[in-house]
Amino acid sequence: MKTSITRSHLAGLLGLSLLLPLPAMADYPEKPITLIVPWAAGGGTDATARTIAAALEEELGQTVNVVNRTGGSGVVGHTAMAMAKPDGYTLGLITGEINMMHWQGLTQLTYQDYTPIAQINYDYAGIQVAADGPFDSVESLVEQVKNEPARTYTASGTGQGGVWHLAFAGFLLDQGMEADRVSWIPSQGSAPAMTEMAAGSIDIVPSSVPEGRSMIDAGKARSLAIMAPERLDSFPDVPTLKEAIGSDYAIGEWRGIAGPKGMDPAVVETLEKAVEAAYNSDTYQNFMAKQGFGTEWRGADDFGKLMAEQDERFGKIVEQVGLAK
Amino acid sequence: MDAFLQGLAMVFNLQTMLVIVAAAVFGLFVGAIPGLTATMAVALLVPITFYMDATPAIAAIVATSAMAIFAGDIPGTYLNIPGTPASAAYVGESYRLAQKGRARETLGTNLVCSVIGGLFGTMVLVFVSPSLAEMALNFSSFEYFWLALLGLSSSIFIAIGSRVKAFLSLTVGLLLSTVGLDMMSGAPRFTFGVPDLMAGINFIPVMIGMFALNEIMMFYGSRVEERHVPVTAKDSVFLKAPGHIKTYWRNVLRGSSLGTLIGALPGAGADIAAWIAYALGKSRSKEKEKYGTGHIEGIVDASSANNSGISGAWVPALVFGIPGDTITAIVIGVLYMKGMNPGPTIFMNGGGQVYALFTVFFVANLIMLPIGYLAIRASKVFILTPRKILMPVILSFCIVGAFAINNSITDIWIMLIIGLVAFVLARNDFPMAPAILGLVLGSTLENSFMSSMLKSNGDLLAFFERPISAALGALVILIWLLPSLIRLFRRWRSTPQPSHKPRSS
Amino acid sequence: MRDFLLGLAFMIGGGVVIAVAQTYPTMPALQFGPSLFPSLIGGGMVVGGLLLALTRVGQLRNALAGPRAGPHTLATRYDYRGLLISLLPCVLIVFYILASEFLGAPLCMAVSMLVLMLMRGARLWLALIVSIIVAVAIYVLFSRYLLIPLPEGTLFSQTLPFAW
Repeated sequence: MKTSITRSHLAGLLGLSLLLPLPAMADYPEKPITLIVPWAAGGGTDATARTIAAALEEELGQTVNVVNRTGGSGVVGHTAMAMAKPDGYTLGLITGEINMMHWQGLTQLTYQDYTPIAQINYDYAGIQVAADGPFDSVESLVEQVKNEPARTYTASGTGQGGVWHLAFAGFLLDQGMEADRVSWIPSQGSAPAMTEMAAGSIDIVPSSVPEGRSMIDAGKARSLAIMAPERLDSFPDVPTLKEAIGSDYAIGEWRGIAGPKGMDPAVVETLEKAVEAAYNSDTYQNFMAKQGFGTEWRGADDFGKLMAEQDERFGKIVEQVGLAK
Repeated sequence: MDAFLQGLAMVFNLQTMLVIVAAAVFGLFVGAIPGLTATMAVALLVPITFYMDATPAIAAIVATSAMAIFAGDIPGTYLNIPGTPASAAYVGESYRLAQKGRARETLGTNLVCSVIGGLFGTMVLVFVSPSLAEMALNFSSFEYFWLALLGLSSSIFIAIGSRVKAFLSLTVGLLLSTVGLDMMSGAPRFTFGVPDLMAGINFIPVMIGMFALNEIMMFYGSRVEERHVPVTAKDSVFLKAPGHIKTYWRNVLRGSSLGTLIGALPGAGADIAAWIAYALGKSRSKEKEKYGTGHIEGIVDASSANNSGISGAWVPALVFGIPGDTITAIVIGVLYMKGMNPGPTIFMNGGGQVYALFTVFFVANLIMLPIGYLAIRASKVFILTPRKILMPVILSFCIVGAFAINNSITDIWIMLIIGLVAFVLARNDFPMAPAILGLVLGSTLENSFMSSMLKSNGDLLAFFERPISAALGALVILIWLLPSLIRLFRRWRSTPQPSHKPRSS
Repeated sequence: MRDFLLGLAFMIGGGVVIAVAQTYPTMPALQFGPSLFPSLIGGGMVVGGLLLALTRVGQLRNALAGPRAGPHTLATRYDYRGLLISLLPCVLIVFYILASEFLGAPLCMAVSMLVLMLMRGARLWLALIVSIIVAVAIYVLFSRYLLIPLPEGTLFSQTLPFAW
C-alpha cells in the first residue's frame, strides 16, 4: 500500500515535469536571486547592496539574497561573481577594484569578464586630515609634502594598491611629486584608518568624505577638499580641488550591478529596468542621502564604457606608482 | 525627566517587548549552533530592521547578540563544542564540570555572570562612555601590537601541560593567520593558487574543525557507547549561583571591567575579552592548580567578560561612530538609517531616543534570565539523546555551519583538514586553545607591527615612544620576565649563594 | 615515540615554511616584508619541534635503560580499527563536498547521518526517520530563514517541477 502510493506519486511528478515547459527567459525571474558582495557585512558597500536588494525585491517580486564573499582585497567576491552561471540568478555588486586588481597581478579577471547591468553609485575621494594635525588647507598640505623629505608624512585608508591609495598617489603625481612621497600605510579600510588618524599616528586619509563623517562630526578630523568636479550635496562646505588649488584632478570609486559574462540580453534588459526602478525608489535614495553616499546612474551600455575608460586610467596610475606586475 | 519617561514609553510597549523576546529566542538558537555567530545573527536581522522603528530595531540587535553569546556556552558545556568563538576560552572548564554532573549549575552560574557582565557594560555605556571612548581612541598600531603580544603570551600561560606543546600549537594558529593576501604588501601567501584562500582562513571553520569535528572523530574512534555527561542533570540551575557569585565577586568585577574595556577597543571583541579574562583570572587565582579540571572560578571571569564586551563595543560606536567589534559595525549602519547619527552629539540631541536605547540594554540583559533558564532546562535534550543519534546530527550542522560563514565549499575543506590535524595533536595532548588564539590575534600582531614599522621607517624604538605603548610594552616584558625573576628571588632567599642561572621558561 | 615523530614533523614543516617564505617580495623602504612573520613562525616550529623531539629522546633512552620499558607499549595504546572508524566522518564530509552540487545538500546530509547512525548500531527505522527529518529541517532552516544558499542539487532542480 505504502509503496504503491509513493510510486504513483513519483510517476505523477515525473509526468508533471514533462508537461511543464522548459524554463523560458520570458518568465525570468522565477526563483530567488543571489547578489554577491565582495566586501564585509557592515561596510558601506554591503549597506548599499542590502538596500538596493531590498528595493529590487519589490520590483522583481522575488527574494534577492545578499551574500558576502569577502577578503583578498575584493578578489574573492569578484571571482565568485565571474565564475557563476550566467543565468541571471547570480549577480554581484561590482566595485572599482575590478579595474585595479588585474594590473597588480592579483587576478586574471578584468571588466570584460562581466556583463554590466547598471552603475548605482559614485563616491569621490576626499582629503581628510586630523583636526589638530599639521595641515590647514590643501595648499599648505601640498607645500609641506613638497618641502619636507620624502616619507615624512603618512596616509592610509585601503590596502596596498586599493582605490584610495591610487587616488592619492594620482593626486601627488598630478601635483608634480613622486607617487610615494607620502608613505602609504595599508589598512583594512577607511574606518580603521580614521581611528589611527585620531590616535595621532597617521596624517592623511584620502577616503570618500562620508566614510569619515563620524570623525568629522566628532571634531577629530577635517575634510580639506574633495577630488570631484562639483561640491557634494551632503557636504556643501568642503571645496573641490579646483576651488582649492586649481587642479582638475577628479577620481573616485564606483559601484554597480553586474553578472557573469555571457548573460541573455533579454534578462539584462529586464534587470536593467528593475535596477533603475530600484535606484529611483525612496528606499534607496533616502538611504544613500542619509549615509551621504553619492548616487550616479548609468545604464548597461554606459556602465560598460565607464569601466573600460576607468580601466585604462587606473592602469596608468598603477604603473606610475610602481605596483604593476 | 520628560525625555527619560518618553524613553521608557518607547521600550515598555507591547511591540518592543515582543521584539525583544523574539530576538532573544533567535539569538539563543543561532548562538547554540556551532558555526553560527552573534555577528551573523545580527547581519540577518538588518533587512528586518528596515521595517521597524529605531527602538525596537536596536532592541532586536542588543537582545540577539547578548543571548547568542550566552547560548554559545550550552553546547560547550554539554558537548565540549563551543557554539560561538566567545565561549571557546573556557569550554574545557565547563565541559569537565558537566562531566561531574554539574551542567546546570555551571550554565546557571554562567547565565548570571553573563547578565551581570552585560549590565556592568551597560552601566559603563550610560555613565562613562565619552571618557572611555576618548581613551580607546588613543590606541594606534603601536598599542595594538603590544596588546596582541599580551594576548598571545597569556595563551602560553593558561595552557595546561607541556609549554613546548602549547607553543607549537600557537605556531600552528599563527601560521594559519598568515594565509591569504598579505594586507601590507598585497602579496598572496600560502594560497596555492586557490582564489578562496586569498581571503585568508576564517576562524569559524577552524573552530568547528578543532572542537566539533575532533570531538565527533574521538567518539567514533572509541568503541564504547559512553555518555560523557551523566544523566544526573537534575541539579538546580540557580541554587548555587548566588554562592559562587559571592565567593568570586572579585572575578565577576574584574572580568566585567576587563571585558568592557577590551570590547571598547576597536578591533577587539567579546572572544578576545574572554581569553584574556580567563588568563588573568587564572594568574590571580588562589587555586591555580584547579584550573582545567572543572573549576567554576575559571568560568566566572570569562563569561562575565564576553557579555560585558558586547556592551562595551557600543561605547566607541555611539560616541564616535567607530565599531568596537563586528556587531557594532553593522549597528552603525542601522543607526544612520534610523536617523540616530552616532557621534558625541547623540547624547545631547538624542533625548528620549537615547534613554530608550539605554533602557533597551537593561531590559535585554535582564530578559536573558528567564529565557536562558528555560533554555538550560530544555538543553536536557543533549543528554537524553543518545550520542549515536546526536553526533551525526552535529556533523551535519558542522558542514552547514562551516559553509555558511562564506557560502564556500573551501571552508568545508578547511574544517576537514584542521579537524584531522587537531585530532592528531589532541590525541597527543597538545592544547587547542593557543592555536585558536594564534589565529585570532596573528594578523593583528603582524599588521600592527608592519604598519608601525612603515610609519617609523623601521625604527624599533618607536614602540616605546608613545606613553600608552611604552606602558603596555613594559607590562609585556615584565610578564615574560616575571617567572624567572620570582625563581631568582626565591633561590636568592633560600640559598645564600645565587650561583645558578635561572632557567628561562 | 609519537612525540618524537611529531617533533620531527614540526621541524620539517617549519623548514618548508621558511623556504616558501623566502620567495615573498620585500616592502618598499623596509628591509623585511611579508616574509618576516612566516620565517619567524617557521623558526619557532623548528625550535619547538627540536625541543619536543629531544625531551622524548631523553625519556626514551631512560625508559629503555630502565628495567620496565614503559607501562603501555604501542600496541595497547593504538586501536587501529578505532582509528580507521574515526576517519569515517571525514570520508562523509568529502562525500558531501563532492556530491552535494549534484545530489543536493538534504540528500547528502541524510545519507551521511544514516551511515553514521547505523555504524553505531542505531535501529534502521529510527535512523532513517531522524536523518530524513533533520536533513530537511536543516535545509529549510538555513536556506529559507537564514538565507544561506545550500546546494539544492542539479539532479532535482531539473526533474522536479518544484524547488526543494
